[in-house]
Amino acid sequence: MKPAWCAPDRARHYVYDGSWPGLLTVVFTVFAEKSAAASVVRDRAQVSELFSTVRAVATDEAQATRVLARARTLLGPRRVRELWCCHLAERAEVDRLLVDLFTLAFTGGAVDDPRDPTVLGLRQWRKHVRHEKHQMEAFVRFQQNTNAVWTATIAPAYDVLPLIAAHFRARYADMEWLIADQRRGYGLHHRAGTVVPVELLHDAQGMLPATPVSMAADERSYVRLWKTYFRRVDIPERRNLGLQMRHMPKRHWRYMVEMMGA
Amino acid sequence: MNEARLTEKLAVLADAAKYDVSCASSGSTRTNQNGGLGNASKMGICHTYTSDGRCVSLLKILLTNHCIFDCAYCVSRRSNDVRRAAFTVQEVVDLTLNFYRRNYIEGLFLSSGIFKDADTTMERLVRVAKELRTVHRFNGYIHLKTIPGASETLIHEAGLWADRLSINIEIPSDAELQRVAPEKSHEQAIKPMRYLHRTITGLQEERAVVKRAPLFAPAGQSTQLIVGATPDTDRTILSLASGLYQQHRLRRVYYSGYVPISSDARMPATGSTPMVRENRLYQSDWLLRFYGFDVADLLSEAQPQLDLDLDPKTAYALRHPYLYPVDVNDAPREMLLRVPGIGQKSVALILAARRHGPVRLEHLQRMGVVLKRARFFLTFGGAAHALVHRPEKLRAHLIAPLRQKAAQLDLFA
Repeated sequence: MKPAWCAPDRARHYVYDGSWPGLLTVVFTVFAEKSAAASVVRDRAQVSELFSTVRAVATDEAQATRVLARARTLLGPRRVRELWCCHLAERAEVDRLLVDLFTLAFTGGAVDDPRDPTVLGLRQWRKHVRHEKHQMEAFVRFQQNTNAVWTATIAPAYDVLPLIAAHFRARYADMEWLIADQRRGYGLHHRAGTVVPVELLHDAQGMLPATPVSMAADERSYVRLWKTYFRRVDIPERRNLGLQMRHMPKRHWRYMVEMMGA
Repeated sequence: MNEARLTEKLAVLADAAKYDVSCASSGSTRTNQNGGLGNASKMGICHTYTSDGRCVSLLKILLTNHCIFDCAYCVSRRSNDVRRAAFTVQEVVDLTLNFYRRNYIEGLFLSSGIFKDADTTMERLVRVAKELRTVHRFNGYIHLKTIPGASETLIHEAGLWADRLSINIEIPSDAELQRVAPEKSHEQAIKPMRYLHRTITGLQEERAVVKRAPLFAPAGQSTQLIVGATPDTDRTILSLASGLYQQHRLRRVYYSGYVPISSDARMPATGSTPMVRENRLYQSDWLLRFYGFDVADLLSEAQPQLDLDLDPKTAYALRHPYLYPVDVNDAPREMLLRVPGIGQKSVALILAARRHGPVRLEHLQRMGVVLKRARFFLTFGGAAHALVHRPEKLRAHLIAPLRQKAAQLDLFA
């Protein structure tokens, strides 16, 4: 592809609000204006306006719906869902690949050729996001509070709460629970089969609550029992910290009771 | 809850169970349909990893480590002087539910020493599973050990409540088993396996017709072999495993490197089995199950042990240089699977890419092929790599960096 300064009137930096309909609106705009996207970003500060055209795109639900319908016809609903998963990575690099892939699909290109860097790139991002989802299903740790609500705090690298909701709803159907994404300031709240996203309240210092104040009576006992179990199943003769770290990256440790203070 | 008592029991009975390496929580089809607690995940989930890098998926404990048997390889054998403990059914149920609710585990892996006779022990295991399923509407994963010598009625009932059942063969050859475990024999383990295999397939066929036929051990059965405790060769081990996969449709055979846990005159005086041997056996196991290899491809009477320096697929390629190079753009799937450094997923990507046009080296790199091994065994329509037909030289070339790395690690150890 030509560098942006070769065709200043065509290649543009698109700035949008980071939402999925927002990205679909960018796709619509790129087509409507017959332009090429130099980059797709969520924050205007990331692009220099000196050498390039910055185009701010306001999310338009009607345009997004049209793009989505067309994509579903061309790619199938399953593939479109995969692309939506990639978008949860919240990376400019992925947004750019997504716009490229929609372009490829709408212009009749081969969207299932693994030799294509866009196709393969998105495949790999899908893998990253799925991996993060899987890790969150594994590493979430609930604690029971006096008001009988089970709570957990996480800070996933990607915005995977929408992906893990169904898993936890099925698993803990008989519990009222809250999983809080500390990094993004929102959580999922489940009661009686319904999961709704909730905004987390900041305290006076602008911090999100890390641990709920009141734990149920048995809570500390079960945490200690679990730590006992965790220590006893280890085989110290076979110590392999590198392997442990590879499977369970350190960034998750602070949210896992058995690793706290490790 | 008496925390101190429970802690004491948990410490003893988790410690005694940890040499069973099976940790899988996958392969079940159980779902939460009763609004109760839990659902088995098809994929299986590792909830944490111990400092030895092993996955912790299930609460893996013994009901008791009191045992009337005297198997030389086992830490709970009656002649071994260890602390003994026993859980009540209620204690196991409570621990399982409370760990599960906190998302610490996928479910329960319950085994036991044989404290009175086989049936009494099995009956107690079954009672735990039944109580979890019926009283507590628990839909998480349950793995029960089948106690050798237990009645078929009890084994059948176990299958109704558990997701997976397993019976460990432990020692790969019958003669060696009887030497180190006088109360045991291969037949004793194979008999319940045969029964379970028949029942699982029978009920699967029934389910195809009658939707509401009961679930019976939906995650199938597995076993474990101890490696390095007896002089049995890798060929003996893999032949046994291959037979078990084919005849009894086992989901998994686990290989557990022997760790000397206490002295018994019947066991070898040598140290632990090297990790790399265990690793090579798992690699071979994968080749048998997913890559179309036979035991005869990997080992022979003349060469009954796996090469510890090279992975089994590379070793195979070096023994069969006339099969290579494989043309990336032309070879059938089976041959691509036999290229060192190319896995199942890469093969699928190569086949998908070929429908669109020629595949080149840089494509393979991006697809995740391990080129430092694969490049010797591939062509892209052109000439072969000069080393492919000089296996001795290629072997030296492939091993050199590994040796260097090992030496470096020693240096800083």
